Amino acid sequence: MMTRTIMKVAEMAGLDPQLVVGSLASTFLEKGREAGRQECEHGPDAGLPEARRLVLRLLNKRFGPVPSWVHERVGALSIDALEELSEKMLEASSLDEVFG
Amino acid sequence: MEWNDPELVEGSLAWDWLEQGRAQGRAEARAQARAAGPRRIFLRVLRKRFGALPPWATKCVEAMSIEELERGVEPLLDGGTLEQALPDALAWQWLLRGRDEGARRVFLRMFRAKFGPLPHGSMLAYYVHTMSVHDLEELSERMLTTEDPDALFEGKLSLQATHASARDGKPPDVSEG
Repeated sequence: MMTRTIMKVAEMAGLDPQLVVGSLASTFLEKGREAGRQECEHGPDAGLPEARRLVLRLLNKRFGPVPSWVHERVGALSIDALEELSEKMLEASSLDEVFG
Repeated sequence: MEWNDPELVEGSLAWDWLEQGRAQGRAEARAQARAAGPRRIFLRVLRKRFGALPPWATKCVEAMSIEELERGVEPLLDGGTLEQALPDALAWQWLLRGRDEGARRVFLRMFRAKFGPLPHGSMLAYYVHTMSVHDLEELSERMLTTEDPDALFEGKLSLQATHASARDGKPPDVSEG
């Protein structure tokens, strides 16, 4: 089916061809978009690597270059644990306090 | 035209539109997934600092991109107000205020029409302004089937108690329930 055909049919039906094509397109785009979103539905662990990277960056900014044991610890933490850790960063004044 | 339309074959215009939409949907979902981790960290720190968040703040955080979230956590650790921590805070406040205001006015109007004018010193109006629109909608529905204004709040919010609190001069706690 070609745009031209749709436009011609629309015109014959006394409708604005641009409007008809536009609304058809947006209907299908929207349906496809919904399907695409559902295909890629994310689990509870979504964004874990990003969360770890963010926490490492924050630790680095607050306490200077992070030693390798911190890298290892953070690399093994779940999102829940990472959340708790960032909360601790509000009050902690050293790495030991954060991981203590 | 529907999903099972015979025109919907590979290579047709409709097919192309669907595919284009699908690609966009996938990209959005992936971006959403990547941002989920940083968003949880941001929210956690935000809640720790400011307690329960007003609806506009929640909406604002939901709309933040991964870059905004990553950039935003550090200043959040260092202080500042809720408004400073969130991008376009003012716009979100106005957006939700405008949307919520209608629901609140309708609720109060319905309440007055059914139970008469609010008693002097009643803090009902105050309550209504602290409630989420979702709660208001539920209350409005319940209002249709109840004759007792106190029962409307299922004892969580007694109108008598609101008088007492008003006399004490402190706003009652409405965060629970």
